[in-house]
Amino acid sequence: MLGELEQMVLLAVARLGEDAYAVAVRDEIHAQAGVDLSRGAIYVTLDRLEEKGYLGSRFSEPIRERGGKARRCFRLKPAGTRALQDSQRALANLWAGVNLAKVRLP
Amino acid sequence: MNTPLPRVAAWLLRVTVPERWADSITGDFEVEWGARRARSRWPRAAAAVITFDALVVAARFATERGGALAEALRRDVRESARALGRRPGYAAAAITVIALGVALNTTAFAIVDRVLLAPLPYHEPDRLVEVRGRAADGGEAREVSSVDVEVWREALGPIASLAAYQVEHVQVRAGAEPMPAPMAAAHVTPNLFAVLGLDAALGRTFTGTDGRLGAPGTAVIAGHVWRARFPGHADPIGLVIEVDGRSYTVIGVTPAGAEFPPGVGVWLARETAGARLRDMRIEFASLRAVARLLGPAGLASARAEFEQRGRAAAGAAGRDAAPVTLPLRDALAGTARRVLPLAWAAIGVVFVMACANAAGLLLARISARGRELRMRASLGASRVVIARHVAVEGVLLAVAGAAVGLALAAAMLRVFSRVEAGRVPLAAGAALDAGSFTFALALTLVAAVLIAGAATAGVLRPAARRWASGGVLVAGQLAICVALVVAAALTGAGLLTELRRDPGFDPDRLVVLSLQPHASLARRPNTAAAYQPLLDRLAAIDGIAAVAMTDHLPPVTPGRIAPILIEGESPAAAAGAPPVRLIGVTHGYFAAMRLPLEAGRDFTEGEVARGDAVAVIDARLAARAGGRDAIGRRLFVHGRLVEIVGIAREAQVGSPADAGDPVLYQPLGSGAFAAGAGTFLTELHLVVRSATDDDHVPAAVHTAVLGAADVVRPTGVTTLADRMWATLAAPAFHTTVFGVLAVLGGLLAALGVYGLVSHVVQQSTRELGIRLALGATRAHIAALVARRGLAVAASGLAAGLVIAPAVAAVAANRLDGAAAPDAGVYAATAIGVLLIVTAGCVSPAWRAMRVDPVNTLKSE
Repeated sequence: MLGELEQMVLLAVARLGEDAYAVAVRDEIHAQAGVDLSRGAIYVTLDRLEEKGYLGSRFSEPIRERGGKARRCFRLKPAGTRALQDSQRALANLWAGVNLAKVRLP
Repeated sequence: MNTPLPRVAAWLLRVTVPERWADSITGDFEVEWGARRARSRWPRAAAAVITFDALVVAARFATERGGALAEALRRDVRESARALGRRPGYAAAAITVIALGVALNTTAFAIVDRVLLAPLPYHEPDRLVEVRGRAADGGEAREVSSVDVEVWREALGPIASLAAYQVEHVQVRAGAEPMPAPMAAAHVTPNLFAVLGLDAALGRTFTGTDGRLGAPGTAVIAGHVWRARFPGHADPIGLVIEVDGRSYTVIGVTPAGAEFPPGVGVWLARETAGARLRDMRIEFASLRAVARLLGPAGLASARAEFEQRGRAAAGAAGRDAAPVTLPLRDALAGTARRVLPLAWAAIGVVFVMACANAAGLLLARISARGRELRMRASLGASRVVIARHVAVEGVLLAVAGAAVGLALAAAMLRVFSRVEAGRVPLAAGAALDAGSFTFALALTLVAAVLIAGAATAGVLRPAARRWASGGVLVAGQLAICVALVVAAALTGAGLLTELRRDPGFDPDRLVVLSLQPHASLARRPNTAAAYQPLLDRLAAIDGIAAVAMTDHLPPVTPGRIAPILIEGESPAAAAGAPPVRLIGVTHGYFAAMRLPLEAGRDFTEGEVARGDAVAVIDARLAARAGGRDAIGRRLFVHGRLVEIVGIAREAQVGSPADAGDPVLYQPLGSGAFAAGAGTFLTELHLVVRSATDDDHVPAAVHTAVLGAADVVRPTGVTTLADRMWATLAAPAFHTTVFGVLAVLGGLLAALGVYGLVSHVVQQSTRELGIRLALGATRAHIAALVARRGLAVAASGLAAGLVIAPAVAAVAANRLDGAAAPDAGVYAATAIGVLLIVTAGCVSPAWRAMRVDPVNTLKSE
């Protein structure tokens, strides 16, 4: 089961497609989910997801505006897709039949 | 266009961000930094924001990396533990070696801490000094006379408070219970507890009214005495106890561990009666004195002032003895002050040896695992990773060894406090406490660093040089072993010499009762006569073969020295002769001591009672006086002409160091009176030859002496054999300590040799196989292995023999009773080391001889 942060990052990468680099992922999460993540968290999570085999990475062509520095771009690997599907299914199962209005708070 | 980042931010990212991210992240930061700076009106604020951002990123990567390392270490620990479990023999050997090292060191620390470091349990213990008497001739005595104590107290009042005490053996009981065994009690001046600054744990200590003549008897008891002897009394205060037949009311209980002097269970107050005794011309140097230095002066200057004023006062009062001071801790620790650090250093060396051994074992095992490691290396594990693996294994061994060692230390300390603590002053109560626990932790750390460091360094070296470093380790161990064996041999040889020495008399079955004469005897010219009824009564007791009294008894005090002049001898010859010891004895002394007379006769009872001018001389003095013809000759001693009536065999008088001085025996108490100096007895002893090994004799003698309270008071019961043993306590302790260390060192060195040679055999299995295939005999192979072992032995022995004389010099300097080194000791040590090396070589050589050439070459 993926963690919340991992899910958000994987989903952002999936949405961004070819343009998935760290700053873009962060902006995407902020724009869509309204969550402001620290840069470090994004970098490290991307790293960890790659280590787990959910993401693949490549270096972009050197970019002139960045002083000739390349970006590290990520894309979803099949394992990552499967993991997202598993998470979605698990959550859906959990949600099924839950009526929050009826849940008594302690 | 990119803008260079603020310096701190750039540095943070450089050191924490992994290579694969470097460009990407720096690029991101630079883009953002450029945008922010363009927007912001305050560039410094923008720099701060971006630097903070960089810090957050850096922290994320740092924790991520730390987590990864921790995970790798956890994996290493798991693997190492499993690897150790697969080779339980090796693990047990390494852990035992480290455990022994840690246990010995922790034990030594606990004892050293207790004896030399921990403050004494009294108020401002640094200001407490023991006060001794120093005679004009330079002789120093711990026992001083009450007359001197009073002179010093009066003169030193403003700068010091001085208390005195005397330890005796008494029988203490409550109610009508049967007479228990004697225990140590102290008669103390009432201010003793105030001088020490020691408050009672229960009730109170003495005040000025306690101990006055005619005041009711009061006693302070030790907590352990209360619990062991009067367990039925929930509140001991007010309890009436009987001490040697007199009643005392218990007024207080001392706190545990603060007994002073150590070992005493009961305190009775008694003011000194020096002035009275001086008037009666009787003195008995039996008190010990302790003082607290008052005033703001530093310790050194306070001591100097004390001694200087004391000397002046003694001079003004016409006294011979001036006070000298010694810090109380030093006085109580005695020779342990010199011995313990040395023993501790030796133990520390053994500890390093143990660590070297464990590292050697680890290295040998790593070599044995060569194939596995080569495989790992080919799978991409770098040497650093393998080294980390080895280091983890070393640390694991150190921690396990230390844990076992701590348990062992606790056990050792329990054994020590039961067996040896009596021989080391202040050591009672040494135990594992917070201090020694911390010390053990520090040791574990040292062991871990030493073992892991040595093993890691070994792994990082090429295999060929590994043998060389192993050889150096083992040679070093052998050298240390030589030093330990030399120290043990010297202390042991010294002890053996003492044990073999013939004292000239028979100390077995000889009960000694130390006495203090009653003050009323002072006016009588010959005190010995007063004792005769007591001697007669004792002689009639069943089981007593002979009984006598003497004023000097071996092996502690040797007797006073006096110049003598034999009739017909030239004064020049007499002046050049060795000093003569004077010993006062009663009729029957020679029979009781089983000290044979070579010629002539013993004193008669009448001669002793009258204090006649007669003497028995020993064979050494007889040689000066004309051998057997000396009987009937006369000599001058203390200005009196006395006639020689007997010649006794040579016998030990004082300690072994005094052996060789000629001795002159006189009727007890006669000589000193003739000199007009008053009776100045330093000691008075009853020697009782028991006919059987029955235990009832000491008790019967003690009871009989209590019945003669008008002439003497008993101060202690022992046997002469115990007294002789007591002087051997120090050499026996040294021999035990260094003997144990030498044996341990030998075992460790043998283990080291074994590990090294096994390693060599393992590494050269192929070579051995080829040699065997080419026709080498098994004997050749054994010789080959032995040569490797001997090469190491030779260098270790050579190094050891170079340091051995230094060790011998230190031993002679610091260990009382150690023998002087001779060639025999070194030869024995060399043989011992060869035996150790042989022991270490046997099993590997055996394995080498059984190498099967066919199988070996096939497997390659």
